[in-house]
Amino acid sequence: MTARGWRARVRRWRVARLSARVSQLVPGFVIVVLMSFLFAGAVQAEEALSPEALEIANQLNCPVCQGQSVRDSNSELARQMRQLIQHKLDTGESREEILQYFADRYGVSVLREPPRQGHFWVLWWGPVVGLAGGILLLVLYFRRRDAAASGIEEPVAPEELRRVEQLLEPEGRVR
Amino acid sequence: MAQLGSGALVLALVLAVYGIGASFIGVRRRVPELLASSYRATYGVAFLILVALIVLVISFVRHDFRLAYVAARSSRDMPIQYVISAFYGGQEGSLLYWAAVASGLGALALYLHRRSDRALLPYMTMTLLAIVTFFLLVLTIVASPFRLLPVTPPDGAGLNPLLRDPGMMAHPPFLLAGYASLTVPFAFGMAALVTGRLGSDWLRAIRRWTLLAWALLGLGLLIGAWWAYHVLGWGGYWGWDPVENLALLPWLTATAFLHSVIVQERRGMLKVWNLALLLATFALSVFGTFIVRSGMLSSVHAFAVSTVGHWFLAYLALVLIVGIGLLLYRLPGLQSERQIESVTSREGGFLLNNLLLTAMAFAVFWGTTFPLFSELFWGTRITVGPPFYNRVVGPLLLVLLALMGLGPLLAWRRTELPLLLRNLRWPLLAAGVVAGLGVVVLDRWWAVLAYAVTAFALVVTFQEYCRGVRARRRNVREALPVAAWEVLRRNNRRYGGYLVHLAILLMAVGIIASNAFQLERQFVLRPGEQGSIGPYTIVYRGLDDRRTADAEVVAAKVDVYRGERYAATVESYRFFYRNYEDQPTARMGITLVGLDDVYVVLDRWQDDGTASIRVYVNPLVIWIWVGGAVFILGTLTLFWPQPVPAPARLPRTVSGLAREA
Repeated sequence: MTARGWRARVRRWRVARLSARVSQLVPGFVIVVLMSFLFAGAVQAEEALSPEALEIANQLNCPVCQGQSVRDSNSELARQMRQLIQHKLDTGESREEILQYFADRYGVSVLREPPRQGHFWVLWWGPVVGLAGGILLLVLYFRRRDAAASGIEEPVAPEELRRVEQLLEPEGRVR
Repeated sequence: MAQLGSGALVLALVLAVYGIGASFIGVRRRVPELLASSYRATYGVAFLILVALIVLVISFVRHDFRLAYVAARSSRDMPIQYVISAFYGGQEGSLLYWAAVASGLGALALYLHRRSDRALLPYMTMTLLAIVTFFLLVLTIVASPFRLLPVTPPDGAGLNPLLRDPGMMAHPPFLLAGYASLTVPFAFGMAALVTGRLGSDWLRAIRRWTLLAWALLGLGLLIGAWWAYHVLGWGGYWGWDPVENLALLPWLTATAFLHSVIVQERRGMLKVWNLALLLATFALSVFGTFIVRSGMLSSVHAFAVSTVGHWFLAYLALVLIVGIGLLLYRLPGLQSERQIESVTSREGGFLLNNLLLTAMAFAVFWGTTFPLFSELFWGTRITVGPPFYNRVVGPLLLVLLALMGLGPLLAWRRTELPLLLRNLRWPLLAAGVVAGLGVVVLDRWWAVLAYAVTAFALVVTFQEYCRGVRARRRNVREALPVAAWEVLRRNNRRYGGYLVHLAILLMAVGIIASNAFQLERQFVLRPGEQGSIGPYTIVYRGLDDRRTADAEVVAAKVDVYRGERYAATVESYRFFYRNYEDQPTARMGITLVGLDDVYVVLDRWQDDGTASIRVYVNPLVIWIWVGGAVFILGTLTLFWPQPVPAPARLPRTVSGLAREA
């Protein structure tokens, strides 16, 4: 491929990306595109995002990417979602409302932090239950030992112990 | 060439199957010749797989595009280092690399232990060869790297652009080698279970091999973090990506194992638990591979998805069934030789350490796999992102750091409280000072708490080392540097361990700061315009178009000022690789100003040069990489050859069993 053709392709990549995504995407995409046209007057082609908008964008998963947030993704859809977030913030919507808006359109999987409701509690409580189970096992282990250990080994007088420990290096080797 | 490669693999497969049979019959019928033959077969398998690997690398270097794998992963215009590292850039090559490392290290272990652990070797060989056979089956039947194309293309497609980065030369080889080298301790563990020689000799045999796997995995993860930091552009180094998580899991359980194994060596306790941890570590490494290859979870590593997923599922099932079955079968022989006496003892500390590490592993496992369950049981697709892990793992990590401080001060069997309190004076004072300063200076309570805990553990670590040096100087009259070195050398297991603790604490310093005090701003700037972030001002100087052999590069130049003073100029890049123009990749402009990383991301740009730029200020991230360097030093210290103390050479074959019987 010639250098010129190559450069042209590089310039076109955004367009190509856009049309490729449309075919595989949920109607939510159309909504976002429509919104961005609607607010075309207010939202410039590119508007600097406030820290709060970036924060919210980082709470959302880019629906067309693999494991990237809307903040970090370079896809066209993510760009439009970012602009929409900024616009919604400008019109006074709260963080929760904005997240809810995207969750309604793209499903909960768009949220990077699953909500604390319904069966998602299983997710949130899982590690707690796991830790509690571990602690319980440990307590049972100590309990059983306590019951079994009493009277098995002869108690050593502290002076004797100190004398022996003085003869040994920390790792138990004879000096 | 291709025929040589695939021929070597088929031959290796035949030889491996023969080796399994020979060692089985050899050990059952007591035919030493057959056993010796099976060991030689193992060396042969390792050699043949190495031949196949070399053939593949040569095919890459010579641009042999008759091979489908070579044509898909490399092209003529790629720099030579990427052409070579492209050989593990896809499934077939990485499986071959894995098989080579597993069989190579297995053969090395067989050679090194040929005299000391004779009774274990037949079963160790059998396990090892069985695992290698699995990989060879996959490599010859479904994923052969030597498949030929019907028509030879003039040029290859080139490596996935995400992989064309210096990180590619280190992250996959270390991580895969870490995974693969887990095979050796697992094989020894299985051998110990089958033979019932569950005394301490198998532990001695595998400690170093587990350490090796653990160190390689840890390094692989670290390099992966560094790679993500300068390429992925979210201003961070650990994104709790499913694939990262799955690689972290075996590392966590291996860490737990390396700690609890000390208890078994010293006190003869926790035998079942240690074997379970070893089994879990190996099973998790297989599980991770299965999930990654099957593409069941959405990840930045999506390029690794393929069709061999169900092979790994079968393999995982086999490992779990055989492993758990053997463990249950040997359960009666695995009673502790001694009993735990007190919660406030070194044993108790190690147990708590194990609880925390496994709880962390469980939490990560839970979060990573939950999307699968959610879709299966409730039909909802969900994503579990960083917030969940930060919330769940963060507190556990904090307690673990505190324990890292407390643990070394606990004595075996039971701790005398006055002594403990005396040793705690300075660490607690340091923690208090840091907390006091933190409350005044910092505005995040959890960061203050975390720094206090880190300071506590740091002081304990230094105090322990100084005590060791002082004790040595009392006994042997040596200059301070000599004594400091000798303590490290003679007691490398203890002080190497403390070095690793130090490494983790240094990383904690960076991790806490970059999580609590990261600044983030986004600007849309025309050339010459500026923006400010925290104490920094950045001036955007414009875009620059460049070409390399295989890519178009767009570079954004940014000057960084701290206050009024010029600090540095950074360039943030976007790469458009030939054949992959629709997947641009990036390299961040990162510069260290004082202790802050100023991190510049070029997001988008327009024809007139207007660019949308994201800037992060990541304080103290440099300490993560310093910690990484100390981690390497620590693991090297741990590997330092140590004369085996005389009593350990005595045959202590079935002590575990005999005592119970």
